[in-house]
Amino acid sequence: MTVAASPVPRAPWRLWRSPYLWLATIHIFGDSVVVLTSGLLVLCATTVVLLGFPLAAIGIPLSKGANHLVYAIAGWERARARITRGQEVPPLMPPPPTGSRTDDALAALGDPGLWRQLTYYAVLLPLAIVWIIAIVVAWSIPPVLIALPAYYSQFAASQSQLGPFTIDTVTKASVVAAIAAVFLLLVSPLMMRSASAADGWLARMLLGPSETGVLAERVTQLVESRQQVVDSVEAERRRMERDLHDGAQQRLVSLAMTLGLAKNRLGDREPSVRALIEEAHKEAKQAIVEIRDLTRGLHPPVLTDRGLDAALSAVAARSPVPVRLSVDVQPRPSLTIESIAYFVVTEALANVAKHAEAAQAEVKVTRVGDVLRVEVRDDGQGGADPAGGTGLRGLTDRVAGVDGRLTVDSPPGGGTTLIAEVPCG
Amino acid sequence: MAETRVVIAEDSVLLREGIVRLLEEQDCTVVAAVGDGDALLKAVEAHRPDVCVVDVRMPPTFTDEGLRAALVIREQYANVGVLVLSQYVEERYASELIGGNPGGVGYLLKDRVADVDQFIDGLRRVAGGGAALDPEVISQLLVRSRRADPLAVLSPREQEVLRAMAEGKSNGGIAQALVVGEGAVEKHISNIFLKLNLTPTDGEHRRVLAVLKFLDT
Repeated sequence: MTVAASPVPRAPWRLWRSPYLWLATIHIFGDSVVVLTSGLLVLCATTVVLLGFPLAAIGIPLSKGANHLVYAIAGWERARARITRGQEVPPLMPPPPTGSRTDDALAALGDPGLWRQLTYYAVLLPLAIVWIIAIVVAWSIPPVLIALPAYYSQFAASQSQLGPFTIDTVTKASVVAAIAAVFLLLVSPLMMRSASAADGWLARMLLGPSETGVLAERVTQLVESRQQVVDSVEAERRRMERDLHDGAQQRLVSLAMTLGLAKNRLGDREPSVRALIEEAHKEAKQAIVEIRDLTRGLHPPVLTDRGLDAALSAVAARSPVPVRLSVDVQPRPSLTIESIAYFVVTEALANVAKHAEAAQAEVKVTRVGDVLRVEVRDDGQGGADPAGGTGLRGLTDRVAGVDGRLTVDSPPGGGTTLIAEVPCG
Repeated sequence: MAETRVVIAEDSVLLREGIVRLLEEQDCTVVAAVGDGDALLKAVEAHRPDVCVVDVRMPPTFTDEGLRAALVIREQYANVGVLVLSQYVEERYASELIGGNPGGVGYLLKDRVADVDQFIDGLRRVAGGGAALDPEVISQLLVRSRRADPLAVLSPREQEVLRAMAEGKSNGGIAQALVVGEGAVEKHISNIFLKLNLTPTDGEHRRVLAVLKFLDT
């Protein structure tokens, strides 16, 4: 946090009460110093970058070093913007090392960051002159003019020329002084503010990453964070499966077993009690089946242990519609991708069973290069609408979450073909 | 029937103790009850039980620990039956477990222990060198064979009979399950042998071979 980080006041009289006015003046005054010091250094460094390249063995590291020097100097300029203006200019990055010295030197030479930063100092040179003039106009001339009446009262005979006007009386001098005072109070602060704003704009445009650069960086971040989200969702599903397996499922099995024993011990005695126990026994077993269906839907452990082929065999076996299954996925994709492919097949087969009225279905899972392709085809009545049911929507979303694509071809009466393609590189 | 000596491997204390109680009530002797694969192997080496009851998911990996221990037992101790219990049954695990020999092996859903008599039946079959496969395993194996299609020659009824054979049922048991006469079952079985090109040598041996064919090994 710096003093200048507070919002910049708009009205000139408010500017007078803000440290911003003075910091802005100091900053644009500083531009001249920067041009004469950093600017010259950058110019020299760039020359070394350019000349270094043909010098082979000695030149290449020099070239690379000089490039880094330019970045360091530009870093001072960003620090200055932060301190006096509270302006955060995101840093540019020098090209990453490639491992080959020649490539590094070439990269330094063609580095857009180098040229942007050089351009900054080149533009700053004329600008700094303009700023000096602005500072004189804003802060030096008005006080001199305000002092004019006093001057005339001292030296009655004097006269001076101000543009087309000849100032020869105290009255005329007072008018000029009044105008100068108004100028000083109202216009000077605005001049400084505009100059500083223009200066800041220049720094952001040339010292910070370009808009495409910023967007590219943002996209990279988003891709990474989305990957983390998707992975953590899958990890969470595995954790829930495991918790249920170790907890509720074991308890229910134990309960059902105890009830089974009770039933046995009772034998043919107490038929009314036996009926109750039998009912409870049946309920407990049903609960086990339901919890198993739930946990299997979350994440079947065999998927982690043995991969898609093993996991999908069981899925195909449970499908009420006969399924032909072929799985050829080598090498195994990540757990997340396997989970998603598994989910696509289970959901698609559930849809086939519920809606398609199909005589048979076919599931093909193949890996071609870095793409996992899941195809589920049936010979049912077709007419499935990808935008319709929540099932297909959920599938599309889950596949899209890993940059995959889901297409559904379902002409009325012509069966349904669902294809999901998921990158798995 | 002679007393059946059992080793139990199950990491959930609750279930382990439940199974111990259940078995002892049914005239079995639990010679050891352990909580992981290594302890199971040691217990089998020490006690040479008739059968061990093994949970698939045990420490330390909580994946297929029990299954791997079961495979070791099947390979090294031919006379020790292995009954694997799991919350899920998987065709892949079943194939690995059965290997080329559907004898002295069982693979059941954990909830089957709740049906005490059937469970004890299965356990005794496995202890005696027979098989006890969960109906759900069988249906998964059938689907796989649908892929490979070695059994396409069998009629649906014959497939049902074969499936019941793989579950370890006798002719009488099959007849009861399919609600047909024992004669009809025998006719189906001889058709199965015929269609699978199994020549009439030892009856029981042919049964095993048919089941092996069925298991696509």
